[in-house]
Amino acid sequence: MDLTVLLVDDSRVMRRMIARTLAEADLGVSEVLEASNGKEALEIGLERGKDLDLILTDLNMPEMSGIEFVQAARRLTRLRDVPILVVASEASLEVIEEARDAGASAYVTKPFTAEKIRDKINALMEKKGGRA
Amino acid sequence: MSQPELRAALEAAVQGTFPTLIGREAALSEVTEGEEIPSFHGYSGIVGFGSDWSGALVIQCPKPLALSLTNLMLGDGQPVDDDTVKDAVGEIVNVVAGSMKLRLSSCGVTSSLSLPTIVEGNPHQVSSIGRGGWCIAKFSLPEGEFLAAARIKEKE
Repeated sequence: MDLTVLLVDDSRVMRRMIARTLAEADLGVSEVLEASNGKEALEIGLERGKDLDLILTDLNMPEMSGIEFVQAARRLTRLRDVPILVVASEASLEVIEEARDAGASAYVTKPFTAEKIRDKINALMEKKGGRA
Repeated sequence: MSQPELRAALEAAVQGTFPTLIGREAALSEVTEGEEIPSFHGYSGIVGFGSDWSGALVIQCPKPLALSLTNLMLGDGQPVDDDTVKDAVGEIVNVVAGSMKLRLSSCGVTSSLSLPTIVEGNPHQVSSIGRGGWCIAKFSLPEGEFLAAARIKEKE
């Protein structure tokens, strides 16, 4: 499987950590695109949306928050059906429900283990029907 | 929100975060209450608590420790620049603040979190408007010591 993944996080260090986790988890990720906020992510989504298999996004970001990004992505034809995994430091039920209401597919709290990210992504890909 | 509750939330948030985020257990070595955070050499990562409560979480790392933590987080052996180290300190305080927010909510504290801010200086001081109420905890890692301080008050 050749997955193209978009990572959205204002922390470059966190993007590198997640990218390394994806590489080590043997998920078949062939391309990782990066954005540092929701606005940049939408621009990438407009350009490359049809290539994207999965989006991982933080919530607390400058310019455009993760919630605003997810809401906007779900209004775009190209991103409407792309699974979105929120990877954020907030773990309250309120915030998790807000993300789900916005259109997020699943939620992982930072700090995360590689196993948790891998399991969530596998579940999302199986649900999408992308896993043989 | 009592000082013992604040202290418990701060300790648990730091000690719950570091093993997974950094790969290190953070051992608590000292806790004090203070009017203000002492002057410091290195980086201070700050996240503000907002909404109905106001306050902040501050994590202070000497530069050599901040570099070690960045390398542990990245784990790829690649050289890191100063901006990457600041970014790592910001992410550490961000993740600890998220954990603390959840723990504080069980004490009735409903707050929002700011984006992290990093202050660098030799020395510098982080102060709040309105003195007092800081819980200041010192933690040790094999690579060195860092300080975590928190203050939160209900808005009048």
